[in-house]
Amino acid sequence: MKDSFNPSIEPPKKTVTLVSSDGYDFEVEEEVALESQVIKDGFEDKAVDDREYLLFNVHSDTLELIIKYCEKHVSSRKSISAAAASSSSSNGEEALKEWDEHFISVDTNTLYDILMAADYLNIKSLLDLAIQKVADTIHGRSPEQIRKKFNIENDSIIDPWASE
Amino acid sequence: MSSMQCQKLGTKYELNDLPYDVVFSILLRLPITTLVQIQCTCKLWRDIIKNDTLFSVMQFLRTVKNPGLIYTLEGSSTLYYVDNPLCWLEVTWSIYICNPITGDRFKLPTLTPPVKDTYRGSWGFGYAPLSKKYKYVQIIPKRIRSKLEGREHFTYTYTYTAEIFTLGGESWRELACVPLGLMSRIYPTADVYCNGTLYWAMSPSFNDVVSFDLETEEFQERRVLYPEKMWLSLSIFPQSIRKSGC
Repeated sequence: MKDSFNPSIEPPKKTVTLVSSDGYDFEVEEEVALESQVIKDGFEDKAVDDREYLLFNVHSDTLELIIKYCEKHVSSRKSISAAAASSSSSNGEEALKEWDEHFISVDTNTLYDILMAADYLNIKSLLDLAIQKVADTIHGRSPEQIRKKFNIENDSIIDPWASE
Repeated sequence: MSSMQCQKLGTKYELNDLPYDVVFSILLRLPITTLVQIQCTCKLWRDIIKNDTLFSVMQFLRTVKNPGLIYTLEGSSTLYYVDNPLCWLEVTWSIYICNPITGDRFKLPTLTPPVKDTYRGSWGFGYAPLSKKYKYVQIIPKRIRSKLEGREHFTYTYTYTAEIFTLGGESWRELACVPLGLMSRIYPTADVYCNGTLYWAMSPSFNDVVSFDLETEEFQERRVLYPEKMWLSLSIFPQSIRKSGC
């Protein structure tokens, strides 16, 4: 999964290899991988040629999405700070928010996968985004609708509305 | 990227398969009104909303700026505002602790033994943040009739005991250390709760208060400066917590 279109900006970017639970290698730029707090912790202690992470809990489908999210956020942060430095007006943050909104509009199972992976890799902004998405979906629905939507078994035997 | 060997195909996830912390965080984003409606969705959610003390504390911190969290109670002209909107106190003839989220109501056992010759003393209800316990304190004045030597009439003196009830416990327990000098000066009224401590106004000056640390269970005398003269009421304003005695 090498970036073939990457124009050669010097110095050459350092990369990290992420291996999904089903055995696919993803080579990503160091700063993209560092969006994950888990990878960031102890990153410097690892030898440069040993920067490979086996992500036992993350399937390749999900990992692809996660990388897409991190890449977008890294590049957006750069363009936002560049715009701020040149004091030119930019709606970068708005655009990123819109992008996030679109990114997280996925089916329920994919949303669970993203939540699991974001929690496992400790990517705070993505976890926040996904949690808010679930909360927004719950809001305004009845318990029965929620059970159906999120595939929750009704194991609640107590009726809270029953009078004493 | 091919997903031919996709292990997850065919498996259907449940929301509750997610780590506890994640489910906790999702519920934490919802307003109280929604939590009331959805608590019966499943056992796990009910447990988090109702029984996880951290949840109620964090829910409170999230909504602390919401001015809508004031409860007034039938049979009592006092507003109670405890450090946590998930619990409040109702004083009528019996003492009830209510949880507005679940609608649950718990009646405290009657004080034993019932003391004759008493009038209703001071009381207080609050939350001990370190031990995560709700406690109700009742100060019981007891009138002792005695006849001094050489006098024709009876005189009355008061002695004080304090009983404490911890929510989740089974019975009242008497506090060992009650400073009688302070007790005699407490104006018999409800408390003001703030940051794990209960406060009562003291007569006659009202410039002093008695504080009761819910953690250490100790009484202390404190001096406060009132912003203005207030009649028989004690109010504390930090963190938007506010209550006035009747």
